[in-house]
Amino acid sequence: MRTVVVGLGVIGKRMAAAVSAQPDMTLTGVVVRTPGPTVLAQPHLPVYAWSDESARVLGQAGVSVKGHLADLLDEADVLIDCGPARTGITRLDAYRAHGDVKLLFCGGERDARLGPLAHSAVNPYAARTSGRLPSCNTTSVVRVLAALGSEAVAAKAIFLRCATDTDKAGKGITNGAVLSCHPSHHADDLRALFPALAVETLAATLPMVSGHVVQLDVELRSPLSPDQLLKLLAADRRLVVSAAPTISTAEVRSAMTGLGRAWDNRYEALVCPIPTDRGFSCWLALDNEAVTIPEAVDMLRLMAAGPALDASTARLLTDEALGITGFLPGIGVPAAEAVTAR
Amino acid sequence: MMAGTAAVATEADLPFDFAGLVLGRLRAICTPAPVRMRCTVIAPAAGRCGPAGNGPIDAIRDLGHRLLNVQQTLEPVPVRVLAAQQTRCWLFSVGMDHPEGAEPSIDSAALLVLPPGVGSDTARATQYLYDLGQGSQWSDLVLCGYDRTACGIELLVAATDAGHAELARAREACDR
Repeated sequence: MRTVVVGLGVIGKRMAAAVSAQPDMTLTGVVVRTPGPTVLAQPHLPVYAWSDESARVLGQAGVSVKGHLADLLDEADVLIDCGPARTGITRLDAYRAHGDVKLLFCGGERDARLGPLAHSAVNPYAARTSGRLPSCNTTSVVRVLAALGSEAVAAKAIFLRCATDTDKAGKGITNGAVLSCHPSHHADDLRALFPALAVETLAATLPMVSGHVVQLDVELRSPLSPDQLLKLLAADRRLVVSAAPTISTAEVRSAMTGLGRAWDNRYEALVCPIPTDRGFSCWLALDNEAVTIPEAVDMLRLMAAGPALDASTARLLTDEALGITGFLPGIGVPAAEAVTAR
Repeated sequence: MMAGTAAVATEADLPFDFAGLVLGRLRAICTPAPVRMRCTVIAPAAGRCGPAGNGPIDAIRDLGHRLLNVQQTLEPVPVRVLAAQQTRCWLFSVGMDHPEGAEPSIDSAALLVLPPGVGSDTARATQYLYDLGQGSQWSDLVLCGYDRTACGIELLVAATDAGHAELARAREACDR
């Protein structure tokens, strides 16, 4: 499967690496506008220029440019757009002008002209020619809700977001929280994926870069024991149950450095469910730069193959290629193991 | 002691031990050798590159000032250490003075030199190191800034605890 990655920011560089790790995918090219740090650090990448001006700037920086976006689109099956959030619509015409490449847009895109919101465990075939991925926070909540299936009837979530990405020092809040006084976009995205679910969400931004945190309350159709709950969550090994009685996101981030993954990627969402009268509460801790990568790979594979490919098979291929087993040594264990340990 | 870190007598000695090793390395790669050096260290939140249970919040902590004997022919080097609310790396702002008329230079091959613009902040710099595949604990001294002044050279150098351990191993090998 010939795959193009547009953009090499915090998501794009991880996508390029993830695509390269898939046995059935080929990284045909990465498209950039400027010679950013990743382009300079990874000269092995097949770099294509977004425009003539991009080619000129890249050449001046000593980057070997293999061609232009248009050259690449003629020889690709799927393209994932990892450009700046909520600007995908400005690039759509450039993609549509060449060939029939299938398009997937990274999280944060709200414009329905880019295609339906799609998640490999919920509506794996909804994006036929073009689709949008849920945001990082939404992805982590979708994992929980998808694992619960029809058991969940309502969800409330508060998202505590990092003020900036790990490579951007200029966007942070130095000492304080920014609390949004309006419902966040996550509720709309969750309703799009789970139309029967009652959802409310709020968001705040905090001065940290150790990953987002979500406080999720789920109301269930009928009460479940803690073990029953964990057995349901075990359906998705991208959910890892915290091994410790507390989650320190800085310590989790530090523990990831010993696992040998590029950029210390944590594809898994860390969860600690706490039973309540009507369902359960939980904290979710996620690596906002890596958590969407598995679902993005799933969706590229599913868009290319269509319904002929079983969604669970597509997800398993991704998990195997990215080393997702449900175990994060020193951090967490698969939900199924947590049941056994009780 | 964390894995990949150098042993020091006390935690209070850690930044000064590290500074002494960095200053010694920088002096060694500078031609001609400087006649005077000075250094300000910005240390990670709690003295190690990692989670800090007792780091400053919206504050800079003054961890002290010492005169370090870096090399016999060099007058003692004043070193000031400040701790900031970050955990990615250590930063050493080093000034090297040379005799009037000297044309000092450093052997840049002995340092990891960042592309233009990447050293403008530690967020970009450390993520570039990740992009290179070196993870969070790189052992090189990373040159973030280089300026010629009327007196000599001003350098801004980043390093991690792994770099400290590497320099300490080299010192032990020399001492043997």
